[in-house]
Amino acid sequence: MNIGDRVVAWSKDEEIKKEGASGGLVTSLLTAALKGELVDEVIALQKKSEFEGVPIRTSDVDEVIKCSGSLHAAPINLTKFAVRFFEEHPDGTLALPAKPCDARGIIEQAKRKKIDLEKTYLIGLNCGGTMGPITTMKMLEKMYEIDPNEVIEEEIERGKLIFKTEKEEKAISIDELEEAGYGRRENCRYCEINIPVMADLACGNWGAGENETFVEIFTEKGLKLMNNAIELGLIETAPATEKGIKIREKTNGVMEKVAKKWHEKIFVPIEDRLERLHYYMDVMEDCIDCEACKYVCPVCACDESKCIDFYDPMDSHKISIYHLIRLLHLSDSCIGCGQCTDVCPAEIPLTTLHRRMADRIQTKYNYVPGMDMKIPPSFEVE
Amino acid sequence: MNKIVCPGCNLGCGLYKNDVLYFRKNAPVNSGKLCRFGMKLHKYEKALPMVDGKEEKLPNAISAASKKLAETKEFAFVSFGNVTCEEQLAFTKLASTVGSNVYTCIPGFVGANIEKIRQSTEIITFIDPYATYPLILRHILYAKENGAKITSYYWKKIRIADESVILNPAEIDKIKSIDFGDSLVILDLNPLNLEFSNEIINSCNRENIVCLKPFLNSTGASLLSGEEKSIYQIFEEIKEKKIKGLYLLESDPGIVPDDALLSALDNLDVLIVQQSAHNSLSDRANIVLPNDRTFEGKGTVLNFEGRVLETEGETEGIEVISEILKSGGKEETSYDSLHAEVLSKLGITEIDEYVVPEYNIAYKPETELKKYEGKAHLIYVYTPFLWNNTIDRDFVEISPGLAESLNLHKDRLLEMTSSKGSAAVKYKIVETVPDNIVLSPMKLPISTDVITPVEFKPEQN
Repeated sequence: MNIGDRVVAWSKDEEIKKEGASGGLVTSLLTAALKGELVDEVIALQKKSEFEGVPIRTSDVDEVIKCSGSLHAAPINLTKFAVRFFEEHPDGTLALPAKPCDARGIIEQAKRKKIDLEKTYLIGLNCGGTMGPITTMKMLEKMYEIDPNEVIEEEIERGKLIFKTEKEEKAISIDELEEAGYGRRENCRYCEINIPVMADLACGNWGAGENETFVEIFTEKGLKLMNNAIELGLIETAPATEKGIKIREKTNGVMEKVAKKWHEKIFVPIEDRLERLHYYMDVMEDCIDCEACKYVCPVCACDESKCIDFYDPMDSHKISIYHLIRLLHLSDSCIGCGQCTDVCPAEIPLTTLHRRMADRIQTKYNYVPGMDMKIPPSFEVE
Repeated sequence: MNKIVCPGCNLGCGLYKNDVLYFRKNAPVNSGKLCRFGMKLHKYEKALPMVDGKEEKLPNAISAASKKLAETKEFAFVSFGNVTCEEQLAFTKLASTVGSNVYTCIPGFVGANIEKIRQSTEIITFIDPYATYPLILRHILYAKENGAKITSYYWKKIRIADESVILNPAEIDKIKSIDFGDSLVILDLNPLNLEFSNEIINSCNRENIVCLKPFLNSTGASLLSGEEKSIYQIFEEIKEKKIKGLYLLESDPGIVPDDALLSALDNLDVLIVQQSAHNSLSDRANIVLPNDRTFEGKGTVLNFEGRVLETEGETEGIEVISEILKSGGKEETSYDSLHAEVLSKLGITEIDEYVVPEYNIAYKPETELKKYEGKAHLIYVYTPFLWNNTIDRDFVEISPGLAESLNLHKDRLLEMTSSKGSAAVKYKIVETVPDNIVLSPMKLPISTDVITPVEFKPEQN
């Protein structure tokens, strides 16, 4: 096996194969990384229900096995959990599953010396988008007429969102769901990065058969992860078929096209400068100064935060200085992960605001954050 | 990670906690959203066991408390609801052993739920949703986006409202003539100005009132307690020596606007406080019993809707009370039996956080609106977060008109006088505040009540 190879793989452990998504490969790679002592700890999402995943950090293989299975309605970014790992264990090694926005957050933190990327194994997960759990539960009741408590499995296939209960299986097209105000989070709809090419390898079901994962290996670490699991007898592999490769490319192409359409729809330019200013002033006026957006932001890396230091709640500015600083400071690094919008108690569309600003800056400087370690952050001087 | 309920107020926001906080995105009330309080959970100085101002071993503090309970007549027990239902129930059992009740100082009232806010077409609010209960804001915003008309009655204009009626303390009686119709009413039921809330409650249908409350388990605690007394009545009875011993469970009477009231505590024969955080009350108490922080223990909490929520900590939160019962030779209690009793009292067999049980609670308060003299007023716009020491606002809000009339320059202080004396405070100019009002999120030493008549001293050139 070599870097650049595309294979299909699956777990040899029957339990993991059954519980994990697409043949349980990711769970097996994580357990193998611990068993083969490639890493000290693993970060994974422990599945509490179809609508709840809790990030855990563990070195216990059994705990990792409990995390098997995919969760589309638990939109969590693991970057800050990785940052905390390296705060506690600067010389430690870590493996984690990473959607493109997890991987991009981790790379941006690595550029700011908060994560040691050499010691971080990123098992990339293809991602067509995630959904808010409460919205999904409502969607199940209204659109699918399914009791959310009865859902045992969910899946995205050929543009349809499928929910399974013990009794039935129902599929509705994602377009239809999103037209009705459900479906993926807004930032996921316009995200064009579905295959985590910045990770060590990318795993997904596009182009794979039943109970298989399609894997593309990007780095030495990715190769090491695969070989380690094979040597430990935990996974099996086979070359990807030409048909599988084409299906994967086509699916990715369709997703990118849909994302572009959403981008155009959401980011209608506000050409008039005054109108633009009032747009920002108006939406920011609901801010309650909780700073939750900063707390959850995966790319926020300041030890002493300028956005807080230069902001005094006693000032009577008509526009929030805190947000102005954040808009500027994140304009090179915002990856559009949606965590700030998710957390905002005043429902300020923060990700949209940040992307409006970041799109212009990142286009101007031809800088896409979180893709690799080659280009340093535009606004940072080492 | 342990699933917990944010102890900031009675909204019931769901979190996970171990060494870090993580917001539960599938929590029914907050959907992964959180205000400033939830994020500061872990920054508490823990209380230590103390007897007569000296640190003691816990068993000694427990036996001292037990002894005092046995020998002191007229003991009152107060728990605002900063503990789980199980702990509250254990506390009521302890109170009953000396023939007393637990007072929560907030009546047991459950009104409408969040879904009703979201589905409403007309909403009348008596709160500042941006400051007092921030996590309710998004539900009002949702209703507004769906066409609901929002009317605000408050001390200043509220941005979200289509119509903002600014209340004048000198004409507070005018709230009696509000036509509520079928509007959904959102108000704050807190121990400091029950008269105001009661007036509104008496004017509306229970099904149309959303009663927000300030403490983690205000609703559960008050439903599990019996007869109620207001915080002011308790101070009065301490002053009159009708209450000689006071046992406070996670309840700081220092929330009252007038600090002078606190001197009544010196009249007590014994003050026992059981609390998780160390504060000035610990220094004042004869006996301090440390408590587990609610988010470290397990148990049941009822939010303002009556929604039953669980906290999944490792401790049971009733150890200290159980030990006191044991040490006093009383019947012991266990977490499991308390939990079963809580569910039975709530009329449920299992907890489902996505379902709000039905309540049929009659609450017909009999209180009179207070009257406020004067032309200008200082208003203490308390928030639950202030009481939990997480507000870092050390300034008041005043109107541009007031600043101009007093010739206030930047970086100067606003000088005010009340019947208790003078104070000079930092201020922020806010366009939505009327000229006769000073809004303060902090308690000022010149406050005599939630609303205090004041006069201003113009700045000299």
